[in-house]
Formats: sequence, structure tokens, C-alpha cells
Amino acid sequence: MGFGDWLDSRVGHRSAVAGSCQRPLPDGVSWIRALVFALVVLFVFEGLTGFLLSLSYSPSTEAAHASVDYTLNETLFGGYVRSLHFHGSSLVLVLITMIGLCCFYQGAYRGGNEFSWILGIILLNLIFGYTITGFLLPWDQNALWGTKVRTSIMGSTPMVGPMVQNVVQGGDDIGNLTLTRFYTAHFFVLPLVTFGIYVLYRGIKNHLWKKKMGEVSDPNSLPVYWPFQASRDIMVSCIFVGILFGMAYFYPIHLGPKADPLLSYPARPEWFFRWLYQLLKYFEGSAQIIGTLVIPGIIGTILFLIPFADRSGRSGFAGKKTLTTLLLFIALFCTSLTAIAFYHDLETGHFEEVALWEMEADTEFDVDGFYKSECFECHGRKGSGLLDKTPDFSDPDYWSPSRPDVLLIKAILNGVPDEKDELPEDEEMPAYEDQINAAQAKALIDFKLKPFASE
Amino acid sequence: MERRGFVQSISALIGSMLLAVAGLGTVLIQGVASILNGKSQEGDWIPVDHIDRILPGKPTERTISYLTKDGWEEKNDRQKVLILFEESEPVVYSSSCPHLDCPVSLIPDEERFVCKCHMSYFDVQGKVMEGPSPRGLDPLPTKIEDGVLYCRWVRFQSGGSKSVEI
Repeated sequence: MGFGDWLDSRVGHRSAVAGSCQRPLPDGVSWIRALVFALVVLFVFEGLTGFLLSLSYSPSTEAAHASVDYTLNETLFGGYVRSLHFHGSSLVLVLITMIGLCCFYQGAYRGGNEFSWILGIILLNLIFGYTITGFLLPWDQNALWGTKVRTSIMGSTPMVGPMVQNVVQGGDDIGNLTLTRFYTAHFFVLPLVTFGIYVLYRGIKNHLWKKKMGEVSDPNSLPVYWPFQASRDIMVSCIFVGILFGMAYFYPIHLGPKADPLLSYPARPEWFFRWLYQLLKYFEGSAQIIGTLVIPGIIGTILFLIPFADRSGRSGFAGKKTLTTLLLFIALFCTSLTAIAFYHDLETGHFEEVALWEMEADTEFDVDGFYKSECFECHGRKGSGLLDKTPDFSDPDYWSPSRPDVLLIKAILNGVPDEKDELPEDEEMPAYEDQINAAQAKALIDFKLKPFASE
Repeated sequence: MERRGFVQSISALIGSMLLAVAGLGTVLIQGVASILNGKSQEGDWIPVDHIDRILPGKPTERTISYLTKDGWEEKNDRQKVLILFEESEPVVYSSSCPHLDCPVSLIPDEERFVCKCHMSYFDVQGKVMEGPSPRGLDPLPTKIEDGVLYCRWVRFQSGGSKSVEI
């Protein structure tokens, strides 16, 4: 008796594996099931990469940013793992939308399958939970201000809002306790609930499978899981995992500057929340609740009720024209709002500004030489300024945190316009964008101007 | 048989009640604990700046610093405040946007304020010029004593057309 036989007599793994491989499929093979399998694979991937990230993460306002920075720069493949984890969430969202669309087209929620659809919608909301909690964890500027907007939206809910906000934030403001509870929600509570959803889903599917098998007269004529469905499962998963690896490789995720309540920052949410972000701009004052609760609530309710609203009993769009039109309208609504949000940011130079915020100083740049040849004449040897209107760089108060470097970079590159025309021409701050770039301007600020204050 | 059925229903009932109490209790305790121990600060007067270091009539920004307790950490929290003028008297305003708490900052050389999250603009009186903000900037309690401008750092409920302190 070999080891395998010995093990099998105690564990019974052979019949278990054979049972699931040769499980007959009363509905035949399907691509939707392959997409669902890929979704599970992506979730497992998120779990693995999240586990790796958690090994070098510390949820506190002092340490979070530094620990993520450490992960990116000093752990093996840390940056790649983080990009995989980040892009994975987008891909999960794309995949669940694809599954939803296919199910809608086929009417797959018929025949007692309504609850699978509802579990899918719950899962969609859980994914939003994952992204909202995960968004804060890097503790960069975007994370702080973006989360502030979200918790304030919670706080503006009538009646319970302020209490909810207080419990979610763990106090009046976002701080250490917000990080700890978002972290716990992100890597413990939400995965637990997700796993529960999966178990429920398998249970429902198994129940329906048994019911269907009872109606089949000749089970031997049915296709079996291996290799007919398994090949599709593996193929689709490989495609999505491949896309994920490619995205993480070609679009690595950067870490923004550390969260600082003193500095303003043009915060923006993830791409899939941009339509909600844009919606916020249209509803002023007490009408705000329409953009934050009413419209998303209506869309959510419609999605929930689809299996009960579709009475056509047929696959294809033709049998459910009203619902299809409604969904098309929602899709058009969200897409155009997203487009407006991005277009507006393009027009107002938002992306250039973010690039300036994240600019790193060019350490190669000869700051002393440049200062001597260009700045010295007006700003003086000690940076204290020789003219009436020149700022005093040697005054530590000048470098108050409410003066972000971005403003100075802009002043150096674009000059300071003398709008009131009070200065003679040779006393105006000229533009240097033809001579140096933003990274060099940042170097000038960091290595030449700021040290004046400590001399 | 009847008795066994009765015992079963009773144990199921008690069991689920215990579970419900445990679950709700945890949530409540957690919620109350967070309110008691969460990030907060004392409502003391915080010095903003010497009055003679503030140019009269010119809106500006300052940083204030006060002791706060953030969970396990006692630290100096810093906030940006805006200084506006009411009939040449300086009034300190919160830099937290009344819309959704994003940071409001002075646009250099323009004498107006902007919140860059959702593009609300405020004039030098703190009134909304454009954008989704439901009300003007929120004034903080301000006083001048011995030539020093003081304020109290207060948070306001976001949204709503009236300033409501939290």
C-alpha cells in the first residue's frame, strides 16, 4: 500500500477530487461561470498581495506614509506588489460589471437564481468598501483629503450622519484611530464578509444544482467540469491575471506627498468614483444630499431590483426594453459625468499641478551656480532680499507650512506678474521656464533657498 | 417529543438573543468608546499671531498649533486658519471648507480663497462667490488680548446653510 492509498483511506481526497472534476453540468459549459471563476482568482490575488503589503505596513499617522514608502523602495518587488494590489481593485470592478452585464443579457437571474444576483450587488458594494478603506491607508495628501470628503458626506446624512461620522473616524477628525479602523475593515472585516458571501453563493449554487440534477433523465449525457468548463475557467483567469500583471508593470503606482492638514491639495477620487465626484459640484447647499445619497441610492435600488423587474423570461435585450433603456441611461449618465470631470481637470491644469506637488528635486542641478548668476542680484547673498518687494528667505516665518513649494516653483518658472504695475521693469520677478525645469526649481528651493533660513 | 421540541425552541431563542446582544453590544461599546477616546482637543484659546504682524485689511493665512490627543498619541496638532477683516478688525476663519471639509486656501495676489476639491471660491468677506459650498467660510471664536490675536479651533458640520459647531 503506497502513501497515496494510505492517505486516501483516511482523507478520501481521491473521490473528492474526482467528484468535483466529473461533476456534471446540467446547464452546460458557460463563459459567465468562467468570468466568475476569474473574479474569485482576482480576489485571491488581492488577498495575497494585500498580505504581502501588510507585512511592512504600520497604521498610524506618524508611520503609515513612511512604511508605505519603505515598502515601495526597500522591499523586494514592493512597488510591483503594491501596483498589483491597486490595479487589481479596478480589474475586479471591471470584471464584476462584465459579469453583471452578461447575466442581465442572458437573464441568468431567472430560475431561482435571483439571490446570486443580489449577492453580486452586495459584493459590488463590498468592493466600494474595500476601495474607500484602502484609499486612506497610504496616508498621502490625496488619501487624507479624499477620505475627509467621504466621511463628511457620511456626516451630512440627516439625523444619524454626525454620529456615523464620529464612529467611522474614531473621533471628530481623521487621525490614528481612523487609520486603525480602516485598516482592520480593509484586511479583516471586509475579507471575512466577502468569504461569507462566497460560501452563501456556493451554497445556493449547490442547492440549485441538486434540484436540476433531479430533473435530468440521463446524467451521463451531460458535459463534466473537467476539462470542459475548467479549460474556460483557466483561460479567462489567465487573460485577466495577464492584464493585471501588464497594468502593474506599465503603470506603477506612486506614493504622493505625506498627508499634511496644513497644505491644501487638489484631491481626486479613483476613476470609478469620478462621476460621483462631479455630481457633488452640481448640488449646492441642502440639495447636496441629492448628489450624495438620492441619486446613488436610486441607481443601487434599480440594480437590486432587476431580477424582480425582469419578467420577460427570455435571454437577449429585446424582451426587456424598458430595463435596457434604463441601464443604458445610467451608463451614459455615469460616463458623461466622468468625462466632464476629467475634461475639466485637463482644462484647468489639474494634472500639471499634481505633477508639481509630487515633483522631486533634481539633485544634479548646480544650485549655487544658478543662484549666483540669476538670483543673487535681487535676492542677495543671504537670501534676505535687496529690493522693497523681494521676499526674505532668511526669515524662518517665510517658510511657514502654509506656503507649499508648488507656489514657489510656479513663481520661479512663470515669474511673478506685476498686475498693479507698481514696480519698475527691472525689479519684477522674471520667468525662468526657458532655462530650468520644475525639478531644478524644486532643487533650488530645497538646497539653496530653504537653508538661508537656518543660517 | 413535545417537550424536546419546546426545549429546542427555547435554547434557539436564548442563543440568538445572546448573539444579538453580544453583536449589538460590541458595536455600541465600540461606538461610545470611539467618541470618548477619539481625536479631540480642548477648547482653549490658541494664539494666532501678534496683531502688529498682521497687515491691516490684507487677508492672509496663519498656522495655529495646539495640544491634542489622537488615540494613544498626545501631540501638537497644527491647522491652517484664514484671517479676514471686518471693518478693519481681524477675524479668524476656519480653513475647512463648509462644503465637505477640504482645505481652503488664499489664491496669491488675487485676494480670494479657493477650495480645490470641488472648486468653491470665497471672497475677502468669506462669502461664497461660486461653487457648491452651501455657506460662506466659518468664523472661529476670535479675541485680541495684549496685542495678540487668539482663536479657538472649532469644527463645523459640513453641508447646511448655517454654521453648526460639532
